[in-house]
Amino acid sequence: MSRESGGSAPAGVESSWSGSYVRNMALIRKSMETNADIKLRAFTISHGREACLAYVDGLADLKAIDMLLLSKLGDPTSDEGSIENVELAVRRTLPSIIGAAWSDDYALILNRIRSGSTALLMDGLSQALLLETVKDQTRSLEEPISEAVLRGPRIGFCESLQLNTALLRSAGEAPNMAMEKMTVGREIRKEIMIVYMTDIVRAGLVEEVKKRIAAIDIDHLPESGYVEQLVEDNFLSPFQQIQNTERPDRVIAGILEGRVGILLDGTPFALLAPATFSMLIQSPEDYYDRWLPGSLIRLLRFASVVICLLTPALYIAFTSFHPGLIPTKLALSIIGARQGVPFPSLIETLIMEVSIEILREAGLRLPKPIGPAMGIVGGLIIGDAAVQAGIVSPILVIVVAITAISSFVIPQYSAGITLRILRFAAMICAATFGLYGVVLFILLLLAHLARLESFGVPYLSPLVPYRPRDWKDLLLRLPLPLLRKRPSFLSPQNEFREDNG
Amino acid sequence: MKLTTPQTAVLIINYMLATAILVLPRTAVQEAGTPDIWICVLLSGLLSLVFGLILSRLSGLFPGETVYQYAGKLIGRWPACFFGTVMVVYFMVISALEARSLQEITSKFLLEGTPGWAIVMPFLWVGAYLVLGGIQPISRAFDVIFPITGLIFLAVMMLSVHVVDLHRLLPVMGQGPLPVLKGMRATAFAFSGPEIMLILVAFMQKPKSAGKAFAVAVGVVTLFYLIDCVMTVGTFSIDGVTARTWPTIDLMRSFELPGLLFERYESLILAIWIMKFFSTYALSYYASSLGLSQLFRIPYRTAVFVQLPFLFLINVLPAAIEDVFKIWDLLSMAGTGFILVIAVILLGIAALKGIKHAQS
Repeated sequence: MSRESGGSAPAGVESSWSGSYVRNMALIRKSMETNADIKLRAFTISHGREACLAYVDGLADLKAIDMLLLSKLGDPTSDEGSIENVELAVRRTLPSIIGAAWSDDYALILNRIRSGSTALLMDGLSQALLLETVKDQTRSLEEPISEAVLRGPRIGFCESLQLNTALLRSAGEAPNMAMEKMTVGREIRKEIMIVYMTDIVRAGLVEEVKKRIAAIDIDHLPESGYVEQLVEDNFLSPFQQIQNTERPDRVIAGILEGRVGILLDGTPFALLAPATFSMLIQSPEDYYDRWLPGSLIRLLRFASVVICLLTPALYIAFTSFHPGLIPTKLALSIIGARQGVPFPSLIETLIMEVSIEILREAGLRLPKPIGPAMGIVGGLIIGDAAVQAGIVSPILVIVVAITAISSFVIPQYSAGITLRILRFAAMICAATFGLYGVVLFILLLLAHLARLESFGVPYLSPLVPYRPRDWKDLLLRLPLPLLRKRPSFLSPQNEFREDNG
Repeated sequence: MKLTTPQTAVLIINYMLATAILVLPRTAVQEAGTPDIWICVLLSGLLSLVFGLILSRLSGLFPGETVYQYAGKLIGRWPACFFGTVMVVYFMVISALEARSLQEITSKFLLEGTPGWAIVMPFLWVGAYLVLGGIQPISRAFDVIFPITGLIFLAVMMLSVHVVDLHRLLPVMGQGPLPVLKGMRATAFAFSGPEIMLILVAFMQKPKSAGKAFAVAVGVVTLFYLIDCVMTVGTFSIDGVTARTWPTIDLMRSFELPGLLFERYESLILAIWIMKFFSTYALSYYASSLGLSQLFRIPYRTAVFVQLPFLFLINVLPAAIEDVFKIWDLLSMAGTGFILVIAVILLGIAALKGIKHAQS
């Protein structure tokens, strides 16, 4: 395990830290052969004594250090007297101004330098002073792109873990909000913060989350998606079993329901576990709006899920297997529109669905001003031209357009992707067995969802098993005065969120 | 996690309510010969309730154990093994026949010309996938299936109100009580299902409310059958009903509501009703797999997979749908009867041995 040794000791030089300033300097110089980004800045302090700063250029914030050192130590005329006095001055002043610690552990010193600290070495001192000078490398806080709301806070997480936890803390004074730090990564160590409410979270859930995170053994976690994929219950499932979000308000709402938030350094995406299917279809906005629009929009979203999943499949089933099932006039107009289309309806639908997926993916990668233009060119012109050319029927263009639009209604982008994938499975089932195939597909999906669990919570809850109390906040979002209890399927310790009556 | 009482009730409803509802009016009228079959339904419901309560009581004596496990304590290992094997075979045949009737109906109304094995195989696989998950996933899936199928069935039944003529149900007991008793031969078969209590109670949170769950379930099932019988006989009269293989499906065919999205409801409701077939099939598949694994100490997954080819074999055995009904009749008479008799004997022995309800 090279985790703590921080790189092999340079050959030829004695590998351990010693009391000798010259030897220590040689040690660091040697390590710079493979750590070329470490800079050494030697200078003279009072009484002509040698001192040196070791830091990584660009990572350490030197402004504070400079001011400090130059004013306190760099003045050769200052009357600090003997070596003991200097040490005393450093010990007294510096640690009180920025985080600092003394160390004579070479590996630790090297590691800390590489992660942004500055080491101060001084002739005559056996220990090095490690100053916490990590520069905040953040952008400004912006509105989350992937989860836009009309009403609600416009702040999203950013890449810095400190700033993200600060965002959560700034929600207000919360004596019960707990944050636990873990470090994961074999080659590149990263910090993970686990956030929860001590008085609400289900007993054992935090331990389970910690156990699963501790079991991660991977060289590097570039994004919270890695954590998600490594700790989820079933990695073969098309459904995400952990929610990801860029919105601090969503994390706050989540931990107040008794869930656990997981924040990884270096990514604006926080995770919330456990997650159920219904959570992926809810938006924080449902609660910020009044209950009537909130409820109706939710119903609309559930309808969109069904439309997105099944419309193309039903189109295939009805046109190729059961034209008799739909009213005669509609059947005639659909069949009439399909006159001259040279493909079976599965191929016809696949062509259109795949091309709209391509369009969507292309629009996503393009610069912002071009994206919508792409959509218009693709959607309108290609669709129209395809109909004109007689390759597809106009009804199908309607079906495909409606499907595509409804998949955008899902507030969680990644949940929308799941539906988009499953739609193709449904189409193939429908093309094989018609309506029977669609029902088989529904049964298979249902069986899968019924088997799926996320951190011990059934994925279909609170829909099933029947929990009428939780249904108040499922398909509908009833008025807040009626939602006095937290969702029971998450088995919170404290059930009441409003007047404990 | 254990089953709540409503979960148990839904499991029982989904287990009992399947193929029978599509043919019940015909089989009952054929036996009875009078429009009194709704009385048969009520009486059979009561009968089923009594048996269900007895079986719940028996299973309640051994909390957390299925009949496969506790039978040995009462009648000794080998007789219990024999009885358990009979039950396993019974459940296997039930699930295979359920898949077969699904295949018959699908190929008749939805997929003409598709070979039967192609229809039934994916159905068997999907069921096996669900059954592998155990009783909790089965129960969750049933909880979703029940309201969908129930509401759509009721809605379609209500839509047919305007073609119903209740005078066709008269006279009540015009030929005395004898035809009613005869009709019960058919309706009792529709209510076969109390035997599932021998297994379900073991997984209940509160085994004591098993009777309550069963009573609610039988109530709901009776209501569905009653509506079905009244509607079909009220529409076709008894002569019309006997002339149709699937009277309930024909009922949905008999009316048309212009302007609505669908023109012919029977295919729609059949597509939905497939879920009900699926429920009965899955739960009996589960019951037999559990039996195999508990009786012969083999892993549960193995028990599930081992049965799959046999289910398919039993499924292809009957030559035509009429044979399916015959076997079914025989099975419900002989199988259910056998299980009930044994269960009553078990309960008697338990009483003699003085095993009391565990205080929970």
